[in-house]
Amino acid sequence: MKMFSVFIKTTLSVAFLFMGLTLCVHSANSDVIPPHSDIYAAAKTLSLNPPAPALPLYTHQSATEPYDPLEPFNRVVFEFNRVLEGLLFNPLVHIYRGVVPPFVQKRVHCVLNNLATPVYFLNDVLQCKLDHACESLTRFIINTTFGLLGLFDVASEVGLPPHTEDLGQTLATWGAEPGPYLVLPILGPTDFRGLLGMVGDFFADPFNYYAIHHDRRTLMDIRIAATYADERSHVLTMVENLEETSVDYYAALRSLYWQHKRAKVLHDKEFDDNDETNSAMDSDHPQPEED
Amino acid sequence: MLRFTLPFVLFFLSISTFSISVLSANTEPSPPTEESSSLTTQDQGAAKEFIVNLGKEATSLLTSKTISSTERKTRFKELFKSHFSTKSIAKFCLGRYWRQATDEEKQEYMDLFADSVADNYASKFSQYNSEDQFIVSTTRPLTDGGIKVNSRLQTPDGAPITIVWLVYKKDDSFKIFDVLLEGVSMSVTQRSEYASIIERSGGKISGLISALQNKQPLKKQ
Repeated sequence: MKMFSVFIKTTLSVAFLFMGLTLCVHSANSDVIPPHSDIYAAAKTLSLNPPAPALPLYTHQSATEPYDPLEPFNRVVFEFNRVLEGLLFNPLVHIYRGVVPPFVQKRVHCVLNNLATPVYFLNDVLQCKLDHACESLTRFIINTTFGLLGLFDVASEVGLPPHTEDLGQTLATWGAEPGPYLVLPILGPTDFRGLLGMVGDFFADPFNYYAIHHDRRTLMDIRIAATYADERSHVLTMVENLEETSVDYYAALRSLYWQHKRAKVLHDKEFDDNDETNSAMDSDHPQPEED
Repeated sequence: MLRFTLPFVLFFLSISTFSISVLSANTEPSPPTEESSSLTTQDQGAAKEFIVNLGKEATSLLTSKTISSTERKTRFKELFKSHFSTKSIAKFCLGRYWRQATDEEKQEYMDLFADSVADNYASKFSQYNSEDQFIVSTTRPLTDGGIKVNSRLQTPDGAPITIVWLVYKKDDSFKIFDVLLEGVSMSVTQRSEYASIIERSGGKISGLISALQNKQPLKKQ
């Protein structure tokens, strides 16, 4: 309970902080508030404009091709993971998917998503995406209360769909490069930026903070195992298909990872037609020839 | 007591901040629509229709549970050849190695390429569920004369998969040049994979050709 109140206090202060931020940023950005108003002047003096959207500068080769100088090392770890997955993890995930009723699987997914929402919120704030930050915060509050500690995703029903955000992406919006591609034991494909983000997210997570400082590491282990089962159960069919059909599984997965990250960073959601960063994606694809 | 009221206070706070941001987002001027010289709205509409029809055709031809996997592959290959710009895609996937390839290698590779694509994707249609919905939403012109057709596959359980089709008009008919699933280009993935195989076999295109050939009989069993 003590933890809970500490957390509420922190959330409250953060909420106030970014409420102020919202006002400042939006007043500086839009025409809702006339430019001569006091708030506008205050925002100007505080200079709380969001940073200009910084596109990561891909200096390594072409942007869509993965940068993988550690390939020999990565391939070894990749094979190790493949053996481990084939012998242990995949059968376990198959059991999870086959034995646990879909209803329970959905509840597990919802609880895990709710537990991760504070970190999404934090990253939304760090990225100055205030609409998303509001969404994340509201989602967390609604789902923790009305959704019975996250068991049910009530927020989605009232028009607040889930979205994910991580520190790796935050670093990317700040202009950090992905760095070399990296395959981690068990954890799988990532890059240097992603690894840094993973570590940061881990320690920023209130749940982990609680588990570490109150000696409840079992809770953390359960969460990690559940997250793995949940995430893998969604992609297992796809991963197995890819392994079967690809000629070079390592290269195929590497390209998928790299492009997926890049697309996320460029916010190429494709349903967002107002996105000017879209044009950055336009060049690298097959084109008609002049003949 | 405070402990229990706080969440609700917070809830209303966040709702109010949320509505502020939504309000201000709505009042922002919409960006000017891109004026494309060669593309008319008619073309975009036609491109959209082209993808809608392809969806219908694929559903009726490929999703039947009664046809054999070889039959499905043959049908897929026909559909692929008639609706996709196979030559441009194959060439793109070979990347910079295309120029190094001899004419025989090119021919052999092109033949294997269509088979390989059919092998990769035809089986996906057998998993199609009658409740899945293929929805074509919007189109967007590209600066180089192409059209992006946005669509999504909505499955009864789970998040929709976004599919973007890259379409060019040539001689009054449309051809697909690339497909992006969740922002991931299938052509770029294939190019990356092929390049890796060629590099690992000492920069020889024959290495890729034999790898593709080895993949074939495995599939036919």
